[in-house]
Amino acid sequence: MRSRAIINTIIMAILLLWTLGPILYCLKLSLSPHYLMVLDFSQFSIQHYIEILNNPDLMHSAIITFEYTFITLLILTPLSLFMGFALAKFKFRGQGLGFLCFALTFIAPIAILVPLLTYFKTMGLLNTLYAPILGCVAFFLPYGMWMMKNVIATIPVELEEAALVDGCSRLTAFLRITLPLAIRGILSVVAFLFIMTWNNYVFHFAFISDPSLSVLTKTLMSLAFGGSHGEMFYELEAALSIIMIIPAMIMFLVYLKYTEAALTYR
Amino acid sequence: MYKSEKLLPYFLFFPGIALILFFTIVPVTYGFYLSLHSGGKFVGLHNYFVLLFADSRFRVNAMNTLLYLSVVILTIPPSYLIAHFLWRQFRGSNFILRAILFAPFSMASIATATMFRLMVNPLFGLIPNLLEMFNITLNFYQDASLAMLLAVIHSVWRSIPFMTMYLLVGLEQIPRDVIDASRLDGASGLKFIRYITLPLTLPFLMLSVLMIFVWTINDFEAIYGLFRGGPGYGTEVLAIRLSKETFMYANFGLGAAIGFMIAAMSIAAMLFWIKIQRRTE
Repeated sequence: MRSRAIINTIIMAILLLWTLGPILYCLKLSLSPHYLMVLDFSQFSIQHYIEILNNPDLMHSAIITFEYTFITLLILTPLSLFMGFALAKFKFRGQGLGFLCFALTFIAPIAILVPLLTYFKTMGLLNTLYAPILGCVAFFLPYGMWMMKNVIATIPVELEEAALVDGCSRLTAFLRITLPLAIRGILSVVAFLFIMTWNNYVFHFAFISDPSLSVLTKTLMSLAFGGSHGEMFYELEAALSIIMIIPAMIMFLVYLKYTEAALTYR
Repeated sequence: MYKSEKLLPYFLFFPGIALILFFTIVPVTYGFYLSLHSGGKFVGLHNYFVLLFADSRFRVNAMNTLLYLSVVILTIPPSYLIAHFLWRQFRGSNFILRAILFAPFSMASIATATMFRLMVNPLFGLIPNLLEMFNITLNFYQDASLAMLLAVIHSVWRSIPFMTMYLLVGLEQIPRDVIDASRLDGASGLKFIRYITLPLTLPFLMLSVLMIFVWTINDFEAIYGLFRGGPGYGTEVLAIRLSKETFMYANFGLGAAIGFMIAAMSIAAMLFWIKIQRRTE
């Protein structure tokens, strides 16, 4: 039994190293004054993080990212909530379209980039944040709808029926009774949608060329391939990618915490 | 019940469905229409013929995509073992452990691609430094096949958490008494996997394989984030070529044709997925 425990510890160590290795290396790089060949803890400094905080362009980019994510979620959450509610608690014609639309997430934006470009050009949305917002809403709605359906379906229908007897309408019964009970599951769905929106790059790459509207993913890419004079910002890049993944990871904790009811694919 | 109440689900459901269809099925059809045109003129299947028979770069792209698809196969064994390990050792759930091991799932591919790119930087990267100890010099920034290898490793690193999560869901649904009975019958180790857990989690495995397959052929962000399709055409997969045809050369017909090929493969995978998903429910 003892040797079993040792083997388990070794497996765990390898797993953690494999998963965290790239992140820890990047963290180390972001804390080094200049790219150090050896691990030297005495010289660590947070100068690159301070540099990011003092750089107006980078801060602007961070604010833009938060704005864009917030607006997307503001549209996406109620829409997927109501669609999930309809799918979970009603029987109606065309319900099968729900599953079909969930399956349509297999069609990725990149495969239909040219038609989408034509769409947004016709709508006059190119070079505005509305293009990625609309894109994210349309492409993440199937996930949101399906996960919301799974969350709402876990709340017993009898509770709502009791409210109906007391004279509530279906919608108020849902909003007053089911919604508060399902709030944890709903939070996990919102966290999932936040991660998808926050991490998106394709829409910004394709539909926005204005540098003042560049979100963090885009800013990171422009840092990565050099400034206008070919200068490189390795430590800054490392620091920015560490900063970028923090909000997503916090949301991931929320997602994992409340996900039992909202398993993505069920 | 009032009449308006009967209509309620339609009001809640169909606007969103219209939006989804407008951004998926309609563009696929429209994209096919666009792929039949070149410079505004109708050219029939010309774009497809050009790509398939007269374009050596497209052959490189297709080859790269095939190589990149090895991600799907390479993800399966480690995910299976990790899922098994977590399931056996940490019955119930260890929140912190899961949070750490599944974390790559939540990170932007652009950010993790940056990390991997920095890790192989020829000046100071971790991997070149480690290899130097064994007197091996490898330049990931210039060698196309090494760049591809890095792209594959990066993608496997990102896919393992997803497949592991998915397989764990499957494993946790295996009834307790099935496991106990198989133990009594003497199934252990590999036999236990081969005859008990593999057959019982096969639908979950197939579903996640199909999803990773589709994400891999549609993967633009991770590869673009690493070397933007370079060095040379070294990591230029179909999705990268598509974006270059569209944005660098303004060759919308060719871009749409490549897009339609990718969409057709995705839809084929989707049909499989629907079939299996229906059976598991």
